Amino acid sequence: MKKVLPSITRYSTSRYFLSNTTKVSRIPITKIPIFSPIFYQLHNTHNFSTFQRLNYATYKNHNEDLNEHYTMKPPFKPTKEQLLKNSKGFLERFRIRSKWLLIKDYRPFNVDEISTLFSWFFIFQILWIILGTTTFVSLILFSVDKILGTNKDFVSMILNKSKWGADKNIQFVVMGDVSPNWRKGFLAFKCLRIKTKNANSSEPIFFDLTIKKLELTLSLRKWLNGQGLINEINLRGIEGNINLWEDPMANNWIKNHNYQINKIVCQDCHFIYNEDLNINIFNMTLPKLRFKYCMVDFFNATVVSGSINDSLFTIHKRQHSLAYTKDLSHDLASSWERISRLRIDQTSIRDLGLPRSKSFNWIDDGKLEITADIMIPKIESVDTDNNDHTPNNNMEDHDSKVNKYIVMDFKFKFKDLSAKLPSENPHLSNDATILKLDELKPLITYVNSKKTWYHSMRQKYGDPFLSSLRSSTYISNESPANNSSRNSGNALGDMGWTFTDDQIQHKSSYPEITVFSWPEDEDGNNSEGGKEIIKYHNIDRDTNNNEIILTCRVVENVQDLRNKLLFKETKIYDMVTMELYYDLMKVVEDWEYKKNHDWTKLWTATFMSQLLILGLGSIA
Amino acid sequence: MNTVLAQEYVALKVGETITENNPNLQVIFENAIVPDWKGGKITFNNVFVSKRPQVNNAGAGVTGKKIKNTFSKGSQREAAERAKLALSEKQLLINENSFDKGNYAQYDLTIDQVNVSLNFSKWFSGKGIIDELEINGVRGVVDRTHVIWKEHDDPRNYLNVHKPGDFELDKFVMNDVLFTLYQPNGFRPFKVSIFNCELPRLRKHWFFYDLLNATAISGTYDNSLFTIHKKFTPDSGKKQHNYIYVDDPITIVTTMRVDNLNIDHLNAGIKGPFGWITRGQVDMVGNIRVVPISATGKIPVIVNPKEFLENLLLSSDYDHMKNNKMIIDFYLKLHNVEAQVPLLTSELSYINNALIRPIVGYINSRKATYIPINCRIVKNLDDFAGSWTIYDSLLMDNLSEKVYDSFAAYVVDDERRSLRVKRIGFWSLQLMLQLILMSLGALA
Repeated sequence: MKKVLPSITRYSTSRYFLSNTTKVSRIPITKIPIFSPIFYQLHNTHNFSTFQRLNYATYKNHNEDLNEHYTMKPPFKPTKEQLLKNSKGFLERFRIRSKWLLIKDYRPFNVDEISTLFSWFFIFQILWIILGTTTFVSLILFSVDKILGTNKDFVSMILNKSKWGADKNIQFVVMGDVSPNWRKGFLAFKCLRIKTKNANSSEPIFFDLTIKKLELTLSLRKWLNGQGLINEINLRGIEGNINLWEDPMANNWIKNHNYQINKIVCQDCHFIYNEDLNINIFNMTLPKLRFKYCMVDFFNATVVSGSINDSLFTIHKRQHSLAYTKDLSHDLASSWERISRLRIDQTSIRDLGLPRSKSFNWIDDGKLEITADIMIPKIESVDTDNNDHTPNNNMEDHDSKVNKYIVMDFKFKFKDLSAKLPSENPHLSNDATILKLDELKPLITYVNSKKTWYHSMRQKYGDPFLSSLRSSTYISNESPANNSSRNSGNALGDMGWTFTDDQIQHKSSYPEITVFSWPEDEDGNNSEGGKEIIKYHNIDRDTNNNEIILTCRVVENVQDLRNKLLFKETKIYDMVTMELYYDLMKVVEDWEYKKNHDWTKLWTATFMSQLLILGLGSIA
Repeated sequence: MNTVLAQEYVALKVGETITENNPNLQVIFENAIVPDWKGGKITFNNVFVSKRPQVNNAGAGVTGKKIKNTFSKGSQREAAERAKLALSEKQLLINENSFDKGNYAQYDLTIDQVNVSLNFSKWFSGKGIIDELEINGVRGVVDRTHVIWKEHDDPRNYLNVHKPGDFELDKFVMNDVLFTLYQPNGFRPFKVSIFNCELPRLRKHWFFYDLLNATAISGTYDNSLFTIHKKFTPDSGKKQHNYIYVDDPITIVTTMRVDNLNIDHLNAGIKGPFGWITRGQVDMVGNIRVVPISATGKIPVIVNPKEFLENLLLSSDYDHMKNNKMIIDFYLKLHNVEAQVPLLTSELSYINNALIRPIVGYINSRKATYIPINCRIVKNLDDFAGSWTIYDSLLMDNLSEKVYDSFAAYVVDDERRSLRVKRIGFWSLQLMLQLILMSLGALA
C-alpha cells in the first residue's frame, strides 16, 4: 500500500488529509472484487488513476461515516455511461457494452414473470400439439415403444377404447409395431386389421379388412374445427370384405358428417363388396374427401384405376384432343371445377347383378361397357359451412350465381344382349313400376331378334365386316393401295395366286391411304416443297358388333348428393334407369317402324307382281 | 434487366442446352419460366418439343455462322399444326420429303406445363442436374412411319452407353398425355393416352427397366385400358389374411395389364398360326418380380478404393442389379377370336392341316370363349442396361417366342384336340338338331 500512496499524493493538496485517508481509501479497492470483477480489473489497469480523480469528492463524503459505507453499494462503482464516456475506440465500447449485457442479475424471478413464462411454455405446448399433432403422437408412441419394448398392445388398447372402437363395435388388431417416420412426419401402422365385431351380415355395415401398411398424419387443428383428427391417409395393400347394406350416413352410423380427409392415397386394394362384386383398386389418389360430399369427391379424384369383377375401370380428368397452345387456356376455362371421365370396360351383366335387380330384371345376359363424363361444379367452401337450418339471404344470392348442378353424361354400350320375360314388372327403387310386362315385350323381342339375326348372319356369311375382307383378300391377295412401305408384301401378291401366309391380311390394320398435296399459300406459290397430307381410310372398326348403344344425360343438384354414400340411394340411379328406358324405347320404335316398312314394301312388291302376273294371265 | 427479357434469355439458354447434343430436337418455350416458389420448382409453360430431321437453311453457309434453326417461331407453328391435324377426327398426317431422312420415331408434342426441380449435389456426382420432373398435359403426334429396319440390324445397336451425366431422376410424374401414334408399314393410326404415370425413379441408363417398375401408370392404348401397378399382396386369394408385411422388393409384384387390345397390334405381319387370327381381342397380364440369384443376401462391402471409385462412376446400384433376375409371369387371353387358315401351309403337315380346320372352325364359333396362354420369362437384368424399348431389351423377342410356343402347344395339344373334336362334334350335332327343329316349325 505504501507503493500506491505516492501516486495518490501526487494529486493531493493536503498531506494531512491523505495520511488519514490512506487506510480508508483501501477499503473500496479490496471490496471491489466482491461486487464486480470488471470493476476490479478496471482498477488495476490504466483507469485507476482516472477513477481516483473522478471520485475524489465521493471519497471524502463517504469517509465521514464508515458504517454507512459498508451497508451501501461501493461508492465508486462506475456506471456504464461513465465508462463509455472515457473509453477510446469502438472495440473498447463494444467490450463494455457486451460485458454489461452479460453481467449476471441476482434478482430472482417474481411471480409475474414465472407465470408469464409458464403460460408461454403452456401455449407453446398446445401450439405444438395442434400444429405438430403427428410428431407429438409419434413421440408418445416412440417412448412407449422404448419403455415397454413394443407399442402394439398400447395402440390396440387405445384404438379399441376410442370412439370408433367402443361405440361402433369396431375391433382393431394391431399386428406390427407402430413406427413413426420422423423425416416425412407420419405414423406407420404395419398389418392392421379392422373389423366389425359381430360378423353378422344382417348388420347394416360389416367389414373385415387387413391393411398391410397404413400411414397417417394427424391434425388436432382439424379436429378442433370438427373435421376429424385424421389429416392424410396412405394405404398399401388392403384385403377383405365390405358389406354396406344401408347408407352409413343416412342411418347415422357415421355421426360426424363434417369429417374431411385432406389426402387419400391407396394402392393395391382388394375387397369383396356386398358378397357380390369383386373390386380391386390398383391406384387411387383423392385430393380431398369430405364425408358430406363423398360421392362428388370420389369422382373428383386425381386418378382412380382398378377393376370391377376383373374388368378394368378408371376415373380421370377428361382429355380434350386439342393441343395446348396459348389461346386454348381461355377456351378451356369453364364453370366446372373438373370434368371427370369414368370408364368401365366391358363386364358381364350377369356378374354385375343386373338380372337380379328390380329395374332391369328382364335382361338375361350380355356385356356392358360404361363411359361417363361427370361435370362437377365448384362447391364453395362457404357453402359447405352453411347449415341447412340457417338460411341466409346473402347465401341465397350467392348460390344463385354459382353453378350448383352436377351433370353426368352416360354412354352404355350393351354387347350380345339377351333378354327373357321376367315374372314381375321392372321397378324403380321407390317401387314405382317402369313398364308393364306387355309393354316390355317389344323390347325383349328387339333385343333377342337382334342377337339371333346377328349370329345367323355370322354363320351364313361370317361377319359383314369379315365378308368384305374375305372377298377382297382371301384368294386374290389384293395389295393395299399405294403404300410404298408395303412393297415386300405386294411383290408376292403381284405374282398371282400364291398360297402363302400373306394371304391373310389385316385389312383393318392396314387401311387405304389417300395423299393430298399441300395447299398453296395466298401468294399462289407452293413454298413448302414436297409437303403432303396423308389420310387413312376405313379405320373405324366398330362397324357391327351386335351392340346397343344407349346414351343419357342426368342433371342433379349437388346439394341432393349431400350425405349420401351409396349410388343407389341417390335419385341418379332412377333417373339413369328411366332415361335408358326412354332411349331403348326410341331405338325399338325406330326398328319396328323400319321392320314394318320393309315388310310392307316387300309385301306390296310381291302383291303387285302377283297382280301383274294375274293380270297378264287374264289378258292371255 | 427486364424480367421478361431475362426469362426469355434463360428459356433460350435452357433450350439450347437441351438440344445441344441432338441437332434434330427442337425445344421451344412459349411462356418462359415462372418459378413456383411454394413447391420449390421451376415451371415452364407451353413447351413445344419436336424431333424431326432439320434441313439447314441455304443462308447458313453464307454467313458462316451456324444458325440455330431450332428456335424459329415458324417451325413451332408448323409443329403445332402437325400435332393438331394428327389429333383431329380425320387423323391426318403431314409428311414432308425431308422427313424420310430421319430413321427414328419423330414427334411433335405440345406440353402444357413442365415442372422441374434441380439438385446440384446430384450434378456433381454425375447424375444430371434434374432431380424431379413433372409433365402435365401433352398433346401431339408420334410419327414412326419413317422408321425402316435395315436388314440384319439389331435393336441392341442403339442401346444407351452409360456415361457420367446421364440423367437419374428421383421422381417422374406425367399427367394427361394424349397423342396419335403412326406406326410404320402403313398400320392404322391410333391414339395413345396416359392418364397418369408415376415413377419412383427414372434413369437414362435403365429407362425401360424403370418404366416397368412404375408405382402406377394408367391409360389407354388404341382405346383399350392398360395399367401398371404395384401389388403388395402377392398371394391374393390364396390366403385371406396374410399378417406379415415385408417392405421387401421381392414380395412386391409389379403388374402390367392390358384389356381388350385389338390383336393386330401383336400379330400384324407375323407368319404362322398366330398370324392366322384375323380378328379378336387380347387380355394380357404380366407379373414382374425382381429376384436375387443368390439368396444369401450379402451386401458387398467396398474396401478397395479403386473399386469404390468405379462404383461411384457407374450408375448408383448397378452392382446390386447385376446379381438380380427378373421373372415375368405372362398370361395372355385371346377372346372373340376369328381365324383364317391359308389353303396350304408349310407349317403343318397334311394331316395336321386337315385337323386344324375344325379347330379354326371351333375358334370361329362363338362357343369358344377364349384361348388362354401362359408363359414364364426369366431375364437377366443386364439385358435392361441401356435399353429404351421392349425391343432392344430383347423382351419382345423372348415374349413372342414363348407366346408362339404356348400357342402352338395349345393348337397341337393331342389331349385337348380330342376333347375339342368331341365338342365340335357335339356342337355341330346341336346345330343340325336346331336346324331340323326350325324347319319343322316352318312346315307346321
